[in-house]
Amino acid sequence: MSPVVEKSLLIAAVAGFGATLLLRLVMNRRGNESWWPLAGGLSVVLLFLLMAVTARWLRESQGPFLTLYDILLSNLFSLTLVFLIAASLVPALRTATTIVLAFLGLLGIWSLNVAPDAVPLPATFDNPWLWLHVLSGKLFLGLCMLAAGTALLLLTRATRTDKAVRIPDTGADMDDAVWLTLSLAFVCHSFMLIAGAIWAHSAWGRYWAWDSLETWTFITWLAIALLLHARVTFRRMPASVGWSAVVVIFGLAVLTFFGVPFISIAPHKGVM
Amino acid sequence: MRSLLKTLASLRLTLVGLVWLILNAIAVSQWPDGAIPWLVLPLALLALNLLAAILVNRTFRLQSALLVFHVGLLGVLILVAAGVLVRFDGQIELVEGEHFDPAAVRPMSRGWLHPRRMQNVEFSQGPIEVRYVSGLRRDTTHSTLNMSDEGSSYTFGDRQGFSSHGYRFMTTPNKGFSVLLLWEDVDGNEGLGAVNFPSYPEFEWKQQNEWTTPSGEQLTLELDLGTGVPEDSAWTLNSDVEFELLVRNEEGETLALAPGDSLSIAGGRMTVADLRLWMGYRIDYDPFLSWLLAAAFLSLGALTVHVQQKFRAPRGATVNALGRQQEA
Repeated sequence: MSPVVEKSLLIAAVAGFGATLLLRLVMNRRGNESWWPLAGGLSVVLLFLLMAVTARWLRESQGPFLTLYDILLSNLFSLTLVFLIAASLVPALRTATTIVLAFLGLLGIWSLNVAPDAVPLPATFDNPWLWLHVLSGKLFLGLCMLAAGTALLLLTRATRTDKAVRIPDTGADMDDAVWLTLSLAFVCHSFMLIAGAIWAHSAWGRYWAWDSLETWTFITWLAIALLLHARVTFRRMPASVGWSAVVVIFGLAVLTFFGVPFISIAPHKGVM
Repeated sequence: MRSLLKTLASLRLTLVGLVWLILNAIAVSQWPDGAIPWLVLPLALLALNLLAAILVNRTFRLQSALLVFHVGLLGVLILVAAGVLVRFDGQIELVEGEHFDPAAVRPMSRGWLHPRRMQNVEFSQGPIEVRYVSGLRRDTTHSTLNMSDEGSSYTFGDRQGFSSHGYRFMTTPNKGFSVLLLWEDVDGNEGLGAVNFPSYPEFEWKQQNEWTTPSGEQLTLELDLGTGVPEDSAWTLNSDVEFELLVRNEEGETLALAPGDSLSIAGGRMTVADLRLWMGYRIDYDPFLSWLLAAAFLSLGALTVHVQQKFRAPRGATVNALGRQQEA
């Protein structure tokens, strides 16, 4: 398939995010809490993204691993998939739909404005640990997005109650969902670090080299560990502080995924 | 003693250690060359804190998965530290037919307690072959090493390394041509040496190098391979190619030499003996890697079980992020 078809599929997916977001807002206004029309819209978007990723994969004869465009496109697919599955299984996560759709839409617009460059994957980079490293990374980012989206919603609802910061009605379930998804994200992040170290040892001879991406990924892991420990240490810590920290950690993860690899000169750098 | 342990096991100390480590890791992101000194103190504090917590923190006795996770994490810290103390990283370029000489290895980093066993490593470089697919994309690398003692050979490349006495040799993208020159001085003494040209095909456009003869004459050598790199078809890089060696002296006079040709220079005679390939290797040594991997996976497995238990806990007695049971 040609790059034009791939671009058209991406435009359709971004338009799909916009349409699903609009549907969500209209349903909200009418007090309709139903999830399945939104799930249907997201499934169509997912199909467009799957076709776009497949088209690129077939044309370049390699997975979307290296350039900023590759990373954006593949993460649009994986983040949508993670959200669709998780929100279908855990109703408390559906409350974050508006925030998640807005984020994915922005990511889609960004990807439309990035040159669809391709860089050959070096022979030493292509091993099964790369796959496990990338898959666990995408799962981490997806779960972190869910935690942050739900936390952000809790924050906006809590601040609306003017004086006292109070957890909203469905807040207990949502608060649980934030911490469970963040804990799962921590597991995935840990696996991503281990798989990445094994891959790096094979690909460029060292399991850890303190390049910018490795360092910032480690900082993200430490930040999650710090938050989980702080939550146990300071039992009376206001819930809003914890939620804010979850949002900050997601911001850090986004910066690490989409920023650091493309401004450093290390082996991890997007363009090699 | 116990009160000291309790102080050391404090969760507040954990937070201090983590914040300290995060700040120092941010510093490392700016100055990565000095990473280890920045990180030693906060990591040592966290290791001590973790050890004390494992010994006295009752939560760990109630949560076995959480305990195993933290024991594994402590194991990772200890094994990383041990690896840093004994590790070795280096580079070497070997020409086809050349014997491995540990003295020629360029060290990149060496731990204080590195056991220096490299002199036990013995082999010579056999044939090198690198395959490319259309579009000048490197496909597979095959490097053959001839074992000195066993008379056997070992072919490897790319993701597969060669290990001897704990040292792992990995091929790199850095490889190229090397011309073998025979030097005969005025007394009839002969010596054979190699001049490596820049990495090929990356620097196909400047296959040049300087060589100073044993008599002190400065020469510029340029490799002329006749044809360029085929970009639209598959090809194999090996030393079986036709070539000419362009030799330029300090006066700017240039002479083209074919294989077997000789050139008389002040103080001796240079003969073009052969064209070979050289391969750049990365060498690393860390005997604790397997144990480190085992500790990391043990820790990860325990963390997964712990989080799963948290999922399965009834709402009335949910387990928080670090495993403490709390009332709803």
